[in-house]
Amino acid sequence: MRQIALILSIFIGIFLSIAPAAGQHTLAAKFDLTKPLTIRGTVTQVDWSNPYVHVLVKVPGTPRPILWAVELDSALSLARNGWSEAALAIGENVTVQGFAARDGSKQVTGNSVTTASGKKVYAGANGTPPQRKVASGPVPRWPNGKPRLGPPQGETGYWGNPSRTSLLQDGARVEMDAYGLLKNIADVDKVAPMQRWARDVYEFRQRNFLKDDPMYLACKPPGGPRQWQQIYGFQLVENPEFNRILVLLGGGNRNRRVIWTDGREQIGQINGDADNPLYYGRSVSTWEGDTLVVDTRGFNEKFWFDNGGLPHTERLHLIEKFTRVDMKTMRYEVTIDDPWTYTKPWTSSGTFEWIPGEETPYFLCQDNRP
Amino acid sequence: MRIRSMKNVLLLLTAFIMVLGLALTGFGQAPQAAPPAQGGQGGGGRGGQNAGGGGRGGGRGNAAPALPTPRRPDGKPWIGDVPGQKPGRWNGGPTTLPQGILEKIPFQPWARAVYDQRQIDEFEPHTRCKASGVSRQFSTPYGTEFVDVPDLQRIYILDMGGPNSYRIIYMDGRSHPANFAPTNYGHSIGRWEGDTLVVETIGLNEKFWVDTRGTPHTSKLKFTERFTRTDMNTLQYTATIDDPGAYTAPWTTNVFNMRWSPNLDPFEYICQDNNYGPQLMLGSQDEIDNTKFFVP
Amino acid sequence: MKFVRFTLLVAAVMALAVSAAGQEGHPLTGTWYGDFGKTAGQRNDLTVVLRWDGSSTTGIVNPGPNSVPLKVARLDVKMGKPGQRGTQAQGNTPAVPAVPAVPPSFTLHFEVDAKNKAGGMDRFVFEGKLENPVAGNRTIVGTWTCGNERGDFRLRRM
Repeated sequence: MRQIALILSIFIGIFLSIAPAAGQHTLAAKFDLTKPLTIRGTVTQVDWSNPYVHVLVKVPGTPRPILWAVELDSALSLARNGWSEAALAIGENVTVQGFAARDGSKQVTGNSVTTASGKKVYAGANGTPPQRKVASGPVPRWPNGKPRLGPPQGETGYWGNPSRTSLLQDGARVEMDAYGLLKNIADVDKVAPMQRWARDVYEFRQRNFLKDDPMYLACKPPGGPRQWQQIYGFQLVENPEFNRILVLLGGGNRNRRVIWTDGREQIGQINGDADNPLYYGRSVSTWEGDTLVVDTRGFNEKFWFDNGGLPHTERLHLIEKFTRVDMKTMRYEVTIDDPWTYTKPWTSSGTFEWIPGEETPYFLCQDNRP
Repeated sequence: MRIRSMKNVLLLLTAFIMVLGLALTGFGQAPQAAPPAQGGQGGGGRGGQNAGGGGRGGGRGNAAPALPTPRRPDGKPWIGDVPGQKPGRWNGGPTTLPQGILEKIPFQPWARAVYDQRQIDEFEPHTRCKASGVSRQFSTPYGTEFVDVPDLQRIYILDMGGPNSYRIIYMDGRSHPANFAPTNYGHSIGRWEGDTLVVETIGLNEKFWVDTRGTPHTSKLKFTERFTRTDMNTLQYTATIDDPGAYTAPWTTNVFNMRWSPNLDPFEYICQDNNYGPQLMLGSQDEIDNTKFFVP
Repeated sequence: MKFVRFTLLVAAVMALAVSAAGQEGHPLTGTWYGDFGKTAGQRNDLTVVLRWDGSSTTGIVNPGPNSVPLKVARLDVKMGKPGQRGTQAQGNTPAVPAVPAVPPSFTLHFEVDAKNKAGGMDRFVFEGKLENPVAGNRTIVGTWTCGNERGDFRLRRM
C-alpha cells in the first residue's frame, strides 16, 4: 500500500507540475512531436510574459540570420521555479532542442535551452526555490458555524492545484495529459456519456490536438468547470451583505463573477432578460450542511467548458458541490446536465488545494499579444 | 490620410455598434430608474464628468438635498456598496487626467510628443481587451463597483465592461513588496486620511494606458489616488502622477466627480466577445500590424 | 572602405531587461530587428536593443559575439500642432473649417564605433524616423553614414 501511495504521489507530482495555465495548449496543438529540432544561435530578446515566455534567437543563415522564437513555460511558472528574465543574457549563444511548429514557421519548443558554457536554463528548478507554505488544520469557520470559503480572518490565500484539469466521468479510467489531451484516442467513448454528434465533435477536437480551442486562439473565457481547471486558481470572497459570493479568477483573463446566495430565481441578470446567454452562466447557491451547492445555467456556446474540449450547448445546466473538508482541501463535484449533448447527467469529481499566504497570481491570457 | 480616416471611421463604427449592441441586450449606459422610496437617489448630474472643483452631486434640480455619506460602524465612509442597500456603481470617471491642466503638466519632451501622437492614432490597449489599471478602470460607460470587505481588510474595484476584472486595494497596513513583478493593475495599498481614502499604487507595467487619451507613463510610475465620498451620490477623485521616467516632476489632476448609480448588480462583459473590431485586438489593421509571429 | 561586420569592443553579453517594460512606454524601449546596407541587394543584419532609463537611452547593436554598445542614442522629438474641430455656420458667424493635427515627429539618432581592417575605428551614424511611433510593431526607416559611405536602414520592433 505504501509503495502504491508513493508511486501515486510521484505521478500526481508530475501531473501537478505541468498543470496548464489558461491560453496554454497541449504542445501537440502547435508543435509536431514527431519532428525534433535543434537550433543554435544568439539570444536577442527574452519576452517574459504569460501564457508563454518566448526567447528570440538569431540563427546564422544565408543570406542573413533568421529569427526564431523558442516557446517556454509561462513567466509565472518559471518564476515559481526560481527563474527570471535575467537568467538568460542578451547576446548569449544557446543550443535549443525541441519540436518544430506544425505550420512550418520559425518556432520551436524550448524543451532544452543550454548556454555555450553548458548551463541549462528555464528547465526544472533554478537553485532551491523558496519553500511554499502548506495548509494544515481543520476547516476555518464563521461565528455561525458555516465553513469559510476563504482564509481565516487576518490571513490570505487562494484555491489552486486542481486534482483534475479536465472532466472525466467518475468511475472511468482514462489517461489524459494536463491539458485534457487523451493519451489514447480510442478512449473517446469512455470520457463521458455523449450523444453521437457530441462524441464526434469531441473526437475531432482531440484528433486536432485541441488546436481549435477558443481560449487558446482568442482568449475566450473558461466558463463552467473550466474556470476551476486552471493552475492559477481562484478566490471565493463571501459577501453576505449583498447576497453573493464574489468569484475572483486567476486563470483566463482574471475575470470576476458572482454566485448569488439568496435563493433568487435563475433568470437573466439584467432587467430579467433570460435570453442573454453568458460565458459563465448565472449561478445561484444554497448550503446543504457544509456543502455549497451551486446551480448554474444560461450558458452560451462560444467557449469550451472543459480543457479537454468536451462539447456543450445552451441547455447546459451545472450542479457544482464545494465542500471544504479541512483547511487544505476543497472537494469538488460537478454534475453536467445537458440533455442536448449527453445521454444522461454525469458527474466528475476532484479536489482543490488551499495555497496559504499567497495571492492569486496575476495572469492574463492575452499578455503575449501586442 | 485615407488610412487615418478609415481608422477613425472604423473606431467610430466599433463604438457605435458596441453601444447599440449592448443597449439592445439591456446593458444600458444610463443608471436604472431609482426606486421611488428614497428621495434624491436618482443619481447626481448626468452626462460627462465635471472636472475642476468639488461640489455635491445632489439630486435633480430642486429635489431633496443630497443624502449624507453612508458610514461603516467605525465611522469611516462606505466608499462603494452600502450594506442594507443593493449594490451600485460609480460612473463618470476621468476620461483624461490632464483635463484643464494640459499645458501645466511637466512632461518630458518625449512624453508630450507621445501624448500628442496618441490623440491622433488612438491605438488604445483597452480596445484590444487589455486590462488597464488605476484611473483607466473608471472610464468605461458602465463604471465600476467598489466593494469594501472589512473582514478581509481589502477593497475590491470591479470592472463593469472592459476586461471584466478586479483591482485589489489592501487596507491592512502592508507595504509594497520589494520585488513586485509589474502587472496591468499594479499593487495598491490604501489608508484613510480623515474621510479620504488614499490609495498608492506601484508595479504598473507599460502595457496599457492610464486614461482613455493615453497620458504616458513608464514602469517607474507611483500613482496616488484620493477618493472622497462627499455625499451618497458623489465620489470626488483626484490623482497624483509621480513618474520620473516620463515627467520632470510629480503633478496632480483636477478633481473629478464620479456619480453614484444605485441598485445595479454586476454583470458579465467579455471584451473578446463584444469587440466588433477584432483586428484591433488580434490581427492587422490596414498597414498597422498588431501581430506577433509567435502568437498564438 | 569595404563593408565591415561590427566587431567586438566590449563584452558581448549584456542583460538588458527591456521586455518587462512593454510597448506603451517610451517609444524606443524594446528590441528592433532589421537590416542596413548600401544598396537594395546588399543588406546586413541589424538588431538594436534599446532601453530608456528615465533620462537617457542606452543599448547595444547585434547582441552576440559581434555586438557593440551605442555610443550615442537619443530620441529627437519635434512637437506637432493639435488639430482643431471645425464649427458650422451659425447666424452671422461663418463656418470655421477643421484644422487637422500636425503630428509630432520622432527621430532615432544613434552612433556606434566599429573596428575597420586597418585596426582603427569607424563611426557609424544612424538616423531614422519612427513610422507609427505609438503602434505595437512600430518601425524606423532612415539612413546611415560612415565617413564617405552611406546607405539606408530599417528596423521593426518585436
